[in-house]
Amino acid sequence: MNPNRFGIMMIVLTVFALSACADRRVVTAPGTHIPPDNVPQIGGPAPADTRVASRPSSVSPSPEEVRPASKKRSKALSRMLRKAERQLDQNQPDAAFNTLEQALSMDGRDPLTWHLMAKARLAQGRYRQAVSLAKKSDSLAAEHPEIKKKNAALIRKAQAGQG
Amino acid sequence: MMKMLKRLTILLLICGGAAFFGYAYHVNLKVEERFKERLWDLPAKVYARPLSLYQGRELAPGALERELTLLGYRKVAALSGQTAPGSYTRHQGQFTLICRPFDFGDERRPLRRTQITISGNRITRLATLTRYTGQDTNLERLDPVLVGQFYPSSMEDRIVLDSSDIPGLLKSAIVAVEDKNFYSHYGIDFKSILRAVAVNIKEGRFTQGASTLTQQLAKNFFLTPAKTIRRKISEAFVAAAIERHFTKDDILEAYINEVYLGQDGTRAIHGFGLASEFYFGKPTALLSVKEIALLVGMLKGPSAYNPRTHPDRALERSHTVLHLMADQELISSTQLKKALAGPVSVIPVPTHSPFPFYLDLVKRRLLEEYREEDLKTMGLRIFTPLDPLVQLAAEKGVAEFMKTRDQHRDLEAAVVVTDSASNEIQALVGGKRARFSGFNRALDALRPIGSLVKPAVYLTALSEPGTYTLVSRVSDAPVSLEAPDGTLWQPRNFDRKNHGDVPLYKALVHSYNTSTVRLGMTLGLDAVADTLGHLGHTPSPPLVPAMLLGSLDMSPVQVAQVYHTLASEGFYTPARAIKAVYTPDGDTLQHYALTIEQRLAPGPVFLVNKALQAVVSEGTGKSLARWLSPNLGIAGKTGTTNDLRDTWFAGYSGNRLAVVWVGRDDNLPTGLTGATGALQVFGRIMAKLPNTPLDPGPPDDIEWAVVDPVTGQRTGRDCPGALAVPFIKGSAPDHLTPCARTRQQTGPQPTAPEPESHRGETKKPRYLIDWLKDVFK
Repeated sequence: MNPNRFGIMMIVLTVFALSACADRRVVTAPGTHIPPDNVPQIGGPAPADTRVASRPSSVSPSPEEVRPASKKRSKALSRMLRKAERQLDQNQPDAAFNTLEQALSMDGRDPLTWHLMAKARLAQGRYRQAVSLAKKSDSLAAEHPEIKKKNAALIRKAQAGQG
Repeated sequence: MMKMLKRLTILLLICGGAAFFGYAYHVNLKVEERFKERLWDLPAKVYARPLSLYQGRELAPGALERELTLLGYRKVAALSGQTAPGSYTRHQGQFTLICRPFDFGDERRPLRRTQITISGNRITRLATLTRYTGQDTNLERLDPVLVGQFYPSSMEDRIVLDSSDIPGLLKSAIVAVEDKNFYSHYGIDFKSILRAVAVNIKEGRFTQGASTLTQQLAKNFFLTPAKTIRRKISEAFVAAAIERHFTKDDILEAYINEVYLGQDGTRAIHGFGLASEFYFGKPTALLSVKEIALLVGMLKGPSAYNPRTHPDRALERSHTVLHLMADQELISSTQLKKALAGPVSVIPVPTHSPFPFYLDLVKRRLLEEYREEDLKTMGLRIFTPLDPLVQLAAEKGVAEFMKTRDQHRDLEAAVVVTDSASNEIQALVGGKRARFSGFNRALDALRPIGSLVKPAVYLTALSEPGTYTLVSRVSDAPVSLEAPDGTLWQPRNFDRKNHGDVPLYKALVHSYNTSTVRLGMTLGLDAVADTLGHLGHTPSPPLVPAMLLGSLDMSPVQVAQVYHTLASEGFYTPARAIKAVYTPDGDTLQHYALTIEQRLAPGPVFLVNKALQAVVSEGTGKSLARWLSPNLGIAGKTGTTNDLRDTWFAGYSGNRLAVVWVGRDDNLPTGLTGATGALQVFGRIMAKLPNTPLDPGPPDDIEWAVVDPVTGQRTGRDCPGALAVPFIKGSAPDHLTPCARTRQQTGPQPTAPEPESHRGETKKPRYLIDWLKDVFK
């Protein structure tokens, strides 16, 4: 065996041997993208303890009434978005944007609304706004890979348009 | 001699004739000019947002009723075909509305009947019973509340009617009563003048006039109301000129729009269009025979025959008019009989919805682009995002808080509420009294923001994930800095304690001053100022260390702008108080659409938002739980300035953001803190409004790890005190400390200061070489 190669091998082996003896080991398990279940979360509501009991009944809304941020799109919003899509198809980006602003007042966190807004601005050649709106849509689209894909394509188009 | 006299007479006649025709020519030109311009100065109208109704919308029945009251809709026992628009019935959660027609700018909606069912504070059913073209049955919009108007100096208000809006009966009734020979004379009715002269001579004074409609119009347009012979003569000239230029129909239409029909405070009610709304709450086209007769009767003397103040006199006069109409066969005898029966139902004086502080904001924004003169005369229609229900909640929240602080008479407050998606301003309170005296605290009170500045410091830190995470150790040991003038600045914590080394997020959650100053000085004032600039407010130089604790003057509206950028994942959207401006003809003059710009990376903003949620769940904002469910996950920050002069709270749910300032105009101490002052207003306001939980989705570059906040190291999820904490990918601690090695206590922080060098020790090594160094250390 080439003595050089042997030396390198020894060094590598020593490194591994020593790293095993190290006081603190590197954990290879990666973090999760969503918070783990059953562990109190930073900024999350405290576990149902004394605090809830001591709260006066005038709290509004009562904890049971708070619905989790709905993941499902309401019918009214779906219809509004379909209307905007129709307007975009008919080449009326201004009207579509207007419709989408109304949609925003129903639910400001639906990534599709923001994506369609980006589309309207793209149709008008307002590329900078198109990119910003697509990025905004992205920031809300953690659970919507299909919308993220569309945003990415739109951003590419807008950047090409910007030259 | 005679010859001379004759010549003189001829000369005089020639001169007189020249003067006559010269004057007539002059008047003619003047009339021509005048009618070329816009005929009337029309006040600009400012509208609130229209309330949209759709299935599934969160809306309490009481809130809908409040909106209807603001709109001047009248509650009736039952609706018949004759019921006026702007009426409704309510049976518990069941509403039936006769909606007024309205031009929203982007669409017109006609008069229609709508049914709304609300149960469990949500709209469960919506049906529009009147069919019309272009109808969207799934979404209904009520006409918006008129927030205010910008009046011309004459204070004249009117709704100008087109000839198609004017009922034929109204025209013929006016002619029958005011000027029988209208269609045959040339502007001046000599027969009537002779008759009037005869009467006046007999009575020995001016009692009877013989003004034609044209003369009355001439008088209103060009002349003073003084009753002199000279004015009478000019009036005749002007009337003749008007007749020369315009058809009888044009003249009658102008009269109908011009004539004065009453007073509402300082506002003068002009024209039948506005009078129909003012007295009967309906458009002119929908007036009944009886109502037409009453309004026409008022022409004789709008105050003497005012149906509200003199109902008997007005009724009697309307009967005279009705008989005259029947005599001239304008109405049948059955119509007459029906119209004579019963009283006239006049609506109460429409209430104004004075939101003077918001109106002030709108006006200031408009004056950046429009001339004041145009605002007061062009009849612009201005649509704003003001939400009257939010506005009322904000005013009520302030009032209720003030009641609990009876002993503090001089306390004042300001509130801004915005939509956290669009950053449209929904409500603005500029003081505890609704009356506006020129000082709009929400815009004008520039006060130090105190700890409200801190999120900018922590955001700057968290934007360097290689150095700082939410659980990095920061030192809270006493700090002392030398000011440029040589004096020492020694900021202290509110509780006067030194908390030792604390996890970074805890320093924000408990609003520690010394750790914030240490952190800010390490980051650099420029870096913090840059972050503030990205958020929406660039502090003016020179930058001083005290800026880190909020020695920085801002108005509540400016603070709202900064916090909105946090609430919207780092995207900056200028706050808007105007949506669109339309001309009276319905053309869009300007549409203020939403614009957006990414100013900050979403990852660090997400981390700050989590910390701000912790402020409310466990820190200085904890007492919010008295009003708001912890499940809403409100993010917020308290602020208090030196000697308790200003108290602030800025916070947001998933759909709404509010900033509250409580302090004194004379800037003396209030004895209150952010938590005992502004926070309590915030809680009261938000509790009255529909809020969605704040649940920001983690951006792509976020990963969660379970850590022990005390050591800042990873720990098992079952270990006591284990907490799920988000990190920018790659910045999470790598070293797992088994449960046994974690401290048993979880809540309190170590009070003994730890050596500075421990900071950042648990950072994850980023490169192989670092990792090797770490291993061989």
